[in-house]
Amino acid sequence: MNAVALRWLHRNLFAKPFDAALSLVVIPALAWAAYASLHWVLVEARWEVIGGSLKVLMVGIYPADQIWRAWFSAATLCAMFGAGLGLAMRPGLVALTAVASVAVLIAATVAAVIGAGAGVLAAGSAALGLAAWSGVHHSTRAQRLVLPGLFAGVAAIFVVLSAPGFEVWGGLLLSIVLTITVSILSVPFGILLALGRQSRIASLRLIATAYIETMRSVPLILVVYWIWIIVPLLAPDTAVPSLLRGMAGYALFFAAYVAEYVRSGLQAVPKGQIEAARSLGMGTWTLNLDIVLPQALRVVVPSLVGQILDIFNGATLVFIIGLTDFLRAGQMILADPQNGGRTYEIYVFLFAVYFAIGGAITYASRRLEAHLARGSR
Amino acid sequence: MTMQIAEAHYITPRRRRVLVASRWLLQAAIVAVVAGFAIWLGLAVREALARKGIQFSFGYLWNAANISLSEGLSLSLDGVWPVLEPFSPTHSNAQALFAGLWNSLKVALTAIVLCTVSGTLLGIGRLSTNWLVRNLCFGLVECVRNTPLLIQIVFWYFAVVLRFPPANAASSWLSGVIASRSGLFLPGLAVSEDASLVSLGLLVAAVASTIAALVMRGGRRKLACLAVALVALALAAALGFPLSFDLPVATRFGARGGFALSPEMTAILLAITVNSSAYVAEIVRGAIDALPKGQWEAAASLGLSRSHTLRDIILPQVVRIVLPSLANRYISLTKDTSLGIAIGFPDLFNVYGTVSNQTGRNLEGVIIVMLTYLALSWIISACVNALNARINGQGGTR
Amino acid sequence: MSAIQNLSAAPAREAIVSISRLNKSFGAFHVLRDVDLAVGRGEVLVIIGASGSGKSTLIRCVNGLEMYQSGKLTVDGFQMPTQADREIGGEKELAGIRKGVGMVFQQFNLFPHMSALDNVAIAPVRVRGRTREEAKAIALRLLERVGLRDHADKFPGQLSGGQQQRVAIARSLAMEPHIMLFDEPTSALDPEMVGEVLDVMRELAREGMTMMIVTHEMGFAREVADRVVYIDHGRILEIGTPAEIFDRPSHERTRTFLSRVLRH
Repeated sequence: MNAVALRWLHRNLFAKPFDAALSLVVIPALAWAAYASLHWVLVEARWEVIGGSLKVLMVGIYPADQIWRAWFSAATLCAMFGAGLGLAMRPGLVALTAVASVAVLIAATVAAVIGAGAGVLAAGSAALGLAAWSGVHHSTRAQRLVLPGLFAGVAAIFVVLSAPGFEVWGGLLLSIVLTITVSILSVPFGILLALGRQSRIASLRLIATAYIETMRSVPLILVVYWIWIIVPLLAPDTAVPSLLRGMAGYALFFAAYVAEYVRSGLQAVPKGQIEAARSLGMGTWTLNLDIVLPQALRVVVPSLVGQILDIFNGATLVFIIGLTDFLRAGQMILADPQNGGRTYEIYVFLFAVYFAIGGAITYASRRLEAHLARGSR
Repeated sequence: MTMQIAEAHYITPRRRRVLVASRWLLQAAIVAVVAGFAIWLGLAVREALARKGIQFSFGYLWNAANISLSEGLSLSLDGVWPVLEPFSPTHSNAQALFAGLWNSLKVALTAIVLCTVSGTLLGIGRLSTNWLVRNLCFGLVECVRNTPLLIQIVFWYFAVVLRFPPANAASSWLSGVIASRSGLFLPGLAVSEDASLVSLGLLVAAVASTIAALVMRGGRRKLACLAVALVALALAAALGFPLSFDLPVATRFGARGGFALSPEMTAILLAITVNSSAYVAEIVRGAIDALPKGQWEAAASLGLSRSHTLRDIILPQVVRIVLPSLANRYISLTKDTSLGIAIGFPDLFNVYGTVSNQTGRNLEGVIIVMLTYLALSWIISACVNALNARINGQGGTR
Repeated sequence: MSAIQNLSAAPAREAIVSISRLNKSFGAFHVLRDVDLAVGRGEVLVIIGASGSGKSTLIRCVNGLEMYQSGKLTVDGFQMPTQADREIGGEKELAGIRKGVGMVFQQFNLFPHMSALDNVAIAPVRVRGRTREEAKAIALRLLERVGLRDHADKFPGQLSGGQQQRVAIARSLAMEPHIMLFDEPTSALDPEMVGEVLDVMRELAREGMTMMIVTHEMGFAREVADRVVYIDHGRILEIGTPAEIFDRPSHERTRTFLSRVLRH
């Protein structure tokens, strides 16, 4: 055993003089960094500030007496994630245990910080997600219901959450709901743009190309801000909530990127497929809907999942239209003088949550990519 | 079976006319719908603004801005020649927007240079034979790419730069770098007060011919340019060298001298550089991975060391593969400077917001800003394409 | 499916494809020069020639996958589109003609996201407007005919090349075509799979299907062809019965081509 470890060390850290020198510099630095951060996390950091402000971080200024609506959304989101997971991944023992223990950990933390009732609700949501995972994985009928289920879930969240008004949405819940809604909205528009860019009709091609290239050249924040400004000018009599205006801006922006992914997918469909379909006498619609798009979209799925991360990361920009997302909620807590010294605690927590969600999305996208690469062989 | 129709065209003449006509009609209809929508949008916005008493016109650009920006140079036309000078509230709105553009470009260009260098190193680190280095680089890249840029910017600003010691207490590292909460101070180059115009001119000539030497093709011309540069440099030195190092000093009232970066600029530059480095690292690593294994094996079979293989065989090929992706990254990076508004850095978008709020001229402003970003994207693409053509032209045999 | 059991060797039958003075070029490259050819109903016509001689382009023109610059090409009595017609489109009409023309490609071009059964059933449903059940029944019958009934639920990626090509033939047959075009159907196959595909084609020929076949399988050509066409640099150099072409070629060019091919 020792010999194996030594051989590993030799091969991986001290194979060549340069490697050895690097290791001698990096190991102490890393050890010091690990010690310092562990010491800070375990000894110095005052994590009470997170517990005290958990509600603001999660749901912003959502009214406390309406909080069941947020819990409903959380449970629905868990079920939706579970169902999505069921499509992509086998609920094997290791994966199931890993996810379940994270869920237990979160539920326990919630119970300790907020109260036993909240802990039970968190655990229940997680259980719902796990059930959806294994249910979808094992039943083909359930798999067919996933996509309609996703739409229904988003619709239900909107209906339930919107009762106290869109202005009070906030925190991590806002970031996630915004991300999911924009991810869904941008896809059909993006597909249309991609088809327009490939169209035989020159004017359509020109307009789609101009739209896509313009959107890809300007910053997201400009688009979101401007749509937010412009809507009240166009419809002075109706007060469209900031959140909806913001979502429109995000969807218009990210549709251009979806279009480019879809276009690359369309180009990846071999010409022979189109010729075969044509030689069977298929018309343009059948050709696109039955032959080209299913193949193109399959290629594009990993990129589209990857783009969910871009949308989630971009969701931090809603501060420009006065909304309080997860990051803004953290900054609001820091603006309170009594939390002045807790900068690092808050930022470390925000980073950790962002990284956990972002890492999960990246992981899903990579798995899908590998899965598709295997399948196409 | 089928009826024998003698010699019919696959479409009847009538249907053919319909198809031709409908093609044109469709084109016209699409143009009409989109143009109609754009015109309706423009008119509706104009009308809405008119109700607020604002006429659509770019005339406001020449009015005094009456805003102050924490930094930024602007173009002024004092005499015959336009000069760069710090923006002041008496300047016009156009000059305010220029100052914003100046700030955006200042960050973007510096970050492009820095992230290319550090990203390439990080990308090579991802492929190191040293397990620790490889995984450390991987972890760094993943941490950066899986978290929002905005939180990185505000973190650098509020949790790092503003936590630096105050300027009067700041220690200076590495002989002349002062990091304080009022900004970063680097050693700068300053023109000596007693420098003669001749020696300055000689120095400019030296720099110009060095650049010419880099751009020229052909060894002899390069040598000639370099010789000119050396002679000019020597003459300039003989006449009393016109430049001197300007080291910043920490005083009781803050740091002074040297080349100063504001805290906002420091934070956004750090954030964008670190963020883009992670993306550049992935681009570089992907390109190295995409090279056929045969290249490494062929080089190894010739007895080249790993570092020689990397420098002479792999990197030149990688450069050709990465350029298009790098161009996209540079464009994203330039757009990312618009997040400066979150920490009060007066970039183009931030200045646009301020000017629009002051004047109510969102429509005109957004047209200018959009066109500016479009132009920047095009310029970056054009530069990288030109570089690509040049490299591929030199590569020749591939 | 109507089976015309008329196997007289004479080319002068009611023509289903007639081509006269056909010219086609890709840019400056002149692929087909003044091609004259007629294919009778129930005839099996085999086109041979060196690669790049234009034989694939010729049968792709018959299906409207390529368009020609000048001359005349009629299929089932309809004149196929020229390059000038390209701008106009008329995909619907073209699709109408293609319903009667089956095509089998060198690379099979099966739809990878559908099972073998769905590959065969999709066109009857989407183009002929049949119900799913009818189309499934047709597809199963055709898969049975090409010997792949047991593989109906497999996806193309799970089938061998020979099996994929047989599914592709079944897919074309599902549209009940009047004529079948084969563009080097065995060229992409491993040698041991060539036989199974040729067997299916032989069976089709026996049933009286009109076929235009581009192939390098000279033994097969001699066996099933009513006439053989030798194309060289985009020109038809010789047309004749297999015996005429293979045993008594009148052109020096044909002779050298055949000796090169038959040596292997």
